[in-house]
Amino acid sequence: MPNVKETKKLRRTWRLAGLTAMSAITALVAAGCAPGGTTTETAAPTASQNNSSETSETSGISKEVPTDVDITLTLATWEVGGLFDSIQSIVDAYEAKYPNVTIEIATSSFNDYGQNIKLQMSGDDAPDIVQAGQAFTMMGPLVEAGLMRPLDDYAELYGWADRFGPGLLDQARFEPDGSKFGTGNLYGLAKGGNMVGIFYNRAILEELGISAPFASLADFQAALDAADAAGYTAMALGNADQWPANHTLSVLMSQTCDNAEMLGWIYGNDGSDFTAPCFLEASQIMEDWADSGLIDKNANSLSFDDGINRFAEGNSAFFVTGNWALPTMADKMGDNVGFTGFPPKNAGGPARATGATTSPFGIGANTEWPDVAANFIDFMTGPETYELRANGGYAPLLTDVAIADSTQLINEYNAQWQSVIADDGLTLFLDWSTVGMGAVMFPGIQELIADQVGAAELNERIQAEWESGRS
Amino acid sequence: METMALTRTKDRPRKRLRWRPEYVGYFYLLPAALFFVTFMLLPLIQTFNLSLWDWTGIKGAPAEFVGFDNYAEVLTNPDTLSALSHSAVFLMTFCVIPVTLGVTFAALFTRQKITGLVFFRTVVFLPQVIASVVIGVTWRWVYQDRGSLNQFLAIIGIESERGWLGDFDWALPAVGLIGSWVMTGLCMVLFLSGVGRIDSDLYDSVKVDGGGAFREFFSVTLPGLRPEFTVATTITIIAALRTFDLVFVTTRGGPGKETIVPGTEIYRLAFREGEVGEAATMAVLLAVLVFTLVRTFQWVLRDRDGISR
Repeated sequence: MPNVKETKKLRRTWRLAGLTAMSAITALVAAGCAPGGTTTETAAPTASQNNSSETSETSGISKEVPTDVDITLTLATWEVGGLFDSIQSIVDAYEAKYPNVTIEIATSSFNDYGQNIKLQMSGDDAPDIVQAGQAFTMMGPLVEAGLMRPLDDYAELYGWADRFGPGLLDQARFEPDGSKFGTGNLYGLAKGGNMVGIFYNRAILEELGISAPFASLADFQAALDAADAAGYTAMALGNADQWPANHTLSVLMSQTCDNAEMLGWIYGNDGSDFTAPCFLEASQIMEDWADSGLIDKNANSLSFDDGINRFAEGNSAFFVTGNWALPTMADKMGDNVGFTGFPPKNAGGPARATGATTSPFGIGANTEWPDVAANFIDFMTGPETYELRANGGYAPLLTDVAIADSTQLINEYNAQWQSVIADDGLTLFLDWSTVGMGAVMFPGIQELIADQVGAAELNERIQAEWESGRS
Repeated sequence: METMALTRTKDRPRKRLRWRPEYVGYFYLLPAALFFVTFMLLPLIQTFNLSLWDWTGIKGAPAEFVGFDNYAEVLTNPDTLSALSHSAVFLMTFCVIPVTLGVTFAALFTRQKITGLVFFRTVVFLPQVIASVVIGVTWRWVYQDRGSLNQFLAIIGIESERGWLGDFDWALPAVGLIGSWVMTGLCMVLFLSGVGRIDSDLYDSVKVDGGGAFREFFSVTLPGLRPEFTVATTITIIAALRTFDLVFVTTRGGPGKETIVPGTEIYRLAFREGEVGEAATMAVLLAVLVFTLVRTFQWVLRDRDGISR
């Protein structure tokens, strides 16, 4: 034990250290040491300034790729696996087509990408072609900072509006100030899409004498009841990860709500209301399903993967999720798993489903070669590279191409996908509506299926987040 | 340092610049001090600084100085209160239960020689060595509707198909008890080593005085373990309050918001909602809370009359 004198000295030293720390804090704060390097006073160039410079260039844009000069473009993406290989093969094909053009792919993990992309985009070596996820998490901040070039002029030049349905382009639109999406300038083009539907156990449906597809919600309800009565779990679900059940609710709303009403709410259009009858109807159906035991009562305690495992065991008739589960389902269940679209509310209704394009690719505001970048994006998303995209696992966005024959499961998926795309019936994801929506909605749906909250109260809670998150 | 030297010059001007050999000791401190300042102190200060700004966390994004608005925001958010109430439960399961079990076992070992003690000690200490993600995944299976907990309950005649981590009433205690499982081994090893240090003469004198097991426990074992109590409570309180990985892996804060804790709230604010200022605020408040609680316990358990050590 140190003697008294030393102890006092130590204490004094510590007091001094404390004072030093305090003064350092004060200095930091007083100096206005803003995180991220900029304060509001020195905010990034506003989008309007950007637009004016854009307008003067508009007349000068061209489809032509110069062949007499070496051009190097950087493409930033976070894709991995098959999706990345597909991008690589498209780049190879483009470089073969234009030998003087080199496209360098810069990849980083999804999390790093989201954190760093804005810094990269504002730097000297900003990527020319940039992948930016829809809505407020990624595209919003980039547009707000004026770091992405609006593509409307190129869309007109290349006729992208004829190639893709308006719904596929609208989700990549943003108001120039980044305040609202779904309307405004076009900032990107996507290579493929994803969609939610119903996976089913073929053997069980055969045994019950039920056949997919279902003509209406009532038919699907009858199938659920039949499976339940036969002692099966009607709907398997793993919802411990919190997000999976939101797709079940969302795809129900795709049927009960008019497309415009649903998209209007997600896009944050004035007057949209989650407590409106069509949204409430879907929440009520979901609550009834849970209360009557049609949804696995342990869903909240199973991870998404464990939920698929339970489904694969063969004691559950249905599993509602998106095409991201296709490979796992096929792997675990082989030919015994089928896919069918979520049925419309009434027989003969339009084909609608929760789903969206994959994250779009846009052009950096400071690129030296906007014409070439646009030409590449056109190439990347156009009919020429259709097979290269399909090989990588991208569900095709084009309706005028013949889809190659594949396994029965994938054929079933593609058939439904084609009819939804043809009708421009993708209804996007509910949690895109505000930055904080997932944190309110996902736990809320866990409560809904555990009978902790009623449909009406849940929808009110979600609407409250929508109101506060929009401002 | 500078200011102190200046004030001293008034009465002892000559001493000011004189080199004293023991000053060389400070140079030995330098590497550690540099490390501490760079990786502990500066991040701490930076976190506090961040808590005064409204910032999305994206480099280059505009930040707005908001003073203590974030503190008002965080402290008035009902989720904060519920996260803290869950932390209170975790204090029971991470701290009170393991410390109680640890000291009880240690006391039993003072009465009875256990064969294979080293093996036993290793086994109970094992959870400390396993990565918490692995622990979380393992317990997720234990708590599943078909998991080993329900299998065990079936053996003793209780049929249960409950998925414990998805149950609105049971999820919080279920996650908390994982903490007990993790911390008990640590506490036990701590107290066992403490018991080994207690002078066996003291036990003999209790026996001579005619004292039984309880007298031994309260007069010798418990006071003798005071330093270990301080260490054990400090470690377990910190573990209870700052836990994140265990919750994130097992429940993500669900079902609903039944198991959210300050750690998961910080994660949500910083990485999901881009509210880095509020996340930093939460982190600062959590650090203050941990510090206060730990200091309080250390003060309660302080060496009042300097008996041990």
